[in-house]
Amino acid sequence: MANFKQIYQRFLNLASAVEELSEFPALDPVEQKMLALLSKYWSGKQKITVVEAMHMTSDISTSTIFRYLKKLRQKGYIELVVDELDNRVKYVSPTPMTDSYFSKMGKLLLKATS
Amino acid sequence: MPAGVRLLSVLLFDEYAVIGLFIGALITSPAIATNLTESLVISLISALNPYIAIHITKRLLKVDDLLKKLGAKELILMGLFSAIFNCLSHHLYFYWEGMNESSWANCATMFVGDLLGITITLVLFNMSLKFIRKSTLTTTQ
Repeated sequence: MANFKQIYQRFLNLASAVEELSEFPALDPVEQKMLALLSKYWSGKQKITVVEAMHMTSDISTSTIFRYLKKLRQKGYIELVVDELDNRVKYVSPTPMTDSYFSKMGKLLLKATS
Repeated sequence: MPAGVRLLSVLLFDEYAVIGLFIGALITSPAIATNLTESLVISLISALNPYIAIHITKRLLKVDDLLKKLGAKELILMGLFSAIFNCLSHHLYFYWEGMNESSWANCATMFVGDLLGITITLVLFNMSLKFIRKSTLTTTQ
């Protein structure tokens, strides 16, 4: 007899993999908040290390932030850039896709308010 | 059966999909009335192909049974491997039986067709998901 629970779980995971094929992979509310927090540093041309990013808010635990940083990296929204002088230091940087994501969000916001 | 449908069915329903795909391929086989053995073998090949290809790629890419580790990259590789495996196994069977279809040009045509079919199915699946999300959002508002 077919295990419908397993089939449904597979469907959810398959749907999320298919959504990753989109122009902008789907972001859950935590990922959206993380990007918004990171954008504060990026817009000020400020570099942010992984350790600093893990402590950028008290609303989300450091381990959760780390897990979500990995997810954002997997989805192509961030990249980790190694410091030129110290290999142990890694900076969280936006990717070209993140820039186009923010541009699109800005355009949509403008459209919504007009 | 379109290659994309075969891929998604096996990913979701595993071995149950093989039974369905086999029956589907057999019913729609053009040679069923004239050559039953050939229809049975070709239907079996097209039903088993995606199952074998997906299970090999799942093992190679370390994707679990519930597809938790399935991402866009893995899905694309699965589609690619599935298309290669499908055209090569059909080519092998046609060559074995000495059929006219055994040319490499036909094999390449089948590969391109499968790849295109998989892409179209994935795009349609993605669009349906977006449509469902959008309509759910509209009804809840």
